[in-house]
Amino acid sequence: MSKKLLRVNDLSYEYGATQILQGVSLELSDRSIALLVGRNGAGKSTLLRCLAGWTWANAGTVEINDVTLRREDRSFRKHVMLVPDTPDFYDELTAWEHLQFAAQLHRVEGWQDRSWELLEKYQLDDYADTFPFTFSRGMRYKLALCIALLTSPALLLLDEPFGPLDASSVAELWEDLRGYRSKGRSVMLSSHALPNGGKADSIFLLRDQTVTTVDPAGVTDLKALLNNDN
Amino acid sequence: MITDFRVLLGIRLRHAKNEAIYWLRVLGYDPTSNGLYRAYILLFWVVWAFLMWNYVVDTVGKVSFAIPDETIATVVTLIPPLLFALPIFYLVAMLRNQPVKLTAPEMNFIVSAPTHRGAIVMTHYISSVLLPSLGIAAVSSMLAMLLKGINNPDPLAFGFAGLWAMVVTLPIALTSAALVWSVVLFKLNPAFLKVRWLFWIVPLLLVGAAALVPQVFLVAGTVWQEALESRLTLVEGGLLVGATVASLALLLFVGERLHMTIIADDSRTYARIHSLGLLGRMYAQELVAQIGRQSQLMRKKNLRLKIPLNAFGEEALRYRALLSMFRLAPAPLIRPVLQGAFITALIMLVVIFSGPGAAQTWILVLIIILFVRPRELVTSFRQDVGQVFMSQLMPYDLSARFFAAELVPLGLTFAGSLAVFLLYPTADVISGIILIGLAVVGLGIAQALEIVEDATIVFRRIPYAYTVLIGGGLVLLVGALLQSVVAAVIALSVVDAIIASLLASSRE
Repeated sequence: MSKKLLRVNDLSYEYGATQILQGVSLELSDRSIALLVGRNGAGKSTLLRCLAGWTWANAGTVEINDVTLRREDRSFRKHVMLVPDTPDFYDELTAWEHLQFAAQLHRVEGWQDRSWELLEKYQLDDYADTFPFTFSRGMRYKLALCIALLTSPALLLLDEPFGPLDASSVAELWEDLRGYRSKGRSVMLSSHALPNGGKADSIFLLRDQTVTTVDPAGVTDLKALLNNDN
Repeated sequence: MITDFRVLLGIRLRHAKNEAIYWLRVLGYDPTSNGLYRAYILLFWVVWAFLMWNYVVDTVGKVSFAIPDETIATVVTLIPPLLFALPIFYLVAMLRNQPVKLTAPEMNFIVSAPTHRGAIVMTHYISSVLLPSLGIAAVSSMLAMLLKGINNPDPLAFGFAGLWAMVVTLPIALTSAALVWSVVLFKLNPAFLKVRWLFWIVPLLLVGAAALVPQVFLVAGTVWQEALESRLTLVEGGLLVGATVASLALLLFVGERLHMTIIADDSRTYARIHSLGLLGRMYAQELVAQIGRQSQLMRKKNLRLKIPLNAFGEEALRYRALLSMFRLAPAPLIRPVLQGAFITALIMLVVIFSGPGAAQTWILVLIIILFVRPRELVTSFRQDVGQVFMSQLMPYDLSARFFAAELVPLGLTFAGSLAVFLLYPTADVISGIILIGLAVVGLGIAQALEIVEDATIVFRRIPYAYTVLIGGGLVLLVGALLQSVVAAVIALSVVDAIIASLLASSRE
């Protein structure tokens, strides 16, 4: 039986005088892949940042695995991780050392084999001993993805993952996400287009500062959905 | 060659003009408006420069009367070795960091074009050396007037000393720079790739040769002394001009044989920093430092240290910080020691001169700590907090993260402080050592509180000055009221505990 992994209640966020999110409420079950769609500038990244505890909402609550996100308590970080569209890394650590550092901070068992497997899958194995500051945007995103998949949080948030990735990596990502779901974990990914190569279990539409849940079976034309035509 | 040189110099001049226009606009002038306005701006700056020059000359004249004869004589005898030493220092600096730096557009358009390499080098030489040489000549002129003023109340002799010194110094500076550039560019020749280290012997050889034949190697200083007495002969003047022309010809010869791929490869860091623009280079100092760090790491063939496979949790954090320090060593290991030693030396001087019993002594100590903070105590912590993506992997409170990241810098700063403290005879050594240890920790936490946001009292970043003034003031008050160092030590440990708990409950 599925349980609710993520609960968002009446979340509001304003930046200066601009209201970005207002009264956002949503629920996400475990073992699911959710797609957060919206136009450019709708607030998708802001919402994901609020869910990951990177940005703090002005009102409302976020619960992940029954743990309420609170600024002064970092224990929620064990349950959620956000991969932003441009992740940053330490200058002095190689790609492999980033994976090692992440794995040892999280005490991940058998991290070496899994890390190598991920690097090979995302074509970063030749760059394992290279500093990430020399990477392209796509390679940086792949490394961040490898770190996230290695530490395997209960809720993985991916901000615009299909932009920086090449076609073969997108296919690998969908495969990994399905595997992730089968382990009882959940993923929410944001996009301003319907992604190719895979299907989400649920779709959240972010429009007019709030979120509505859309039946994925009924979505064929995202343009119409974003324009409120269907 | 001449055409290339003219074109390249034209580009440089246009670039310099654009920069000048930018800065004039920053100062509130718009030199691109009508001709009358341009003339007004020119006149304004000419008058300003003239007035400033007169003011400085007048001040130099007044100061020169206050300098004793013996001092003048000593300084004059020191001029030849000084004029020899300055180019040697310049040579060492250039051997470390070659002078021809290309910007990204130069790499893309000029290096790949069939341009004369000698023209590229000469353009760089003129744009990098000419203005500083004029500055050195002006300083030399001031020095000459300063030295000549006392014995020459006659304003004409005083003025001539300055003029001659300027006229002589300019070719000396240009010749020295051209010779230094020639040696350094010669070193970059691919033929010397495996023996480049041998060029580091050149400064030592020059110093040795100057000790053996001073009359040859200190000739520039001797000419300057002659100029000071207005005794410069036509032969000496001709030799000076000849040496300048010959050194420039040598530079052209070496420059023409330069491998621009080596120069382009070496200029990548400079090109990245240059692409930040004027304001970026001035204000984004952290970014400029990061580009420097990245270039340093790129040059490393063997990376020092590894995170041990059995270092988990906070221990992994500690090793990460250690690894960052060692990979950029030696600077990150030396700086904390020097900072600790410097601040402690300042404090000890104040305490010894003003006396430990006086209240103003300790107020001065607080002021020193406010202005000369040990910045190296938060470098790794700042880096950790700044890494938003990697920060997610750290479910630890900020106090734990601070101590994990800064354990080594805290220890090194403490070691530097202790080394200086133990040089001075102190009544209560044990209390002093404990006090220094607690103070180092406290100053580190005070700076960390400035990086993160407090979540219990003020709900914002707590400025370093506030923490130092409140915490330090409290310690001084307790120490003064109870007239006891031990009481001050206890008070400082309580302050440290309070600010550490504030840091623990803070947020990024």
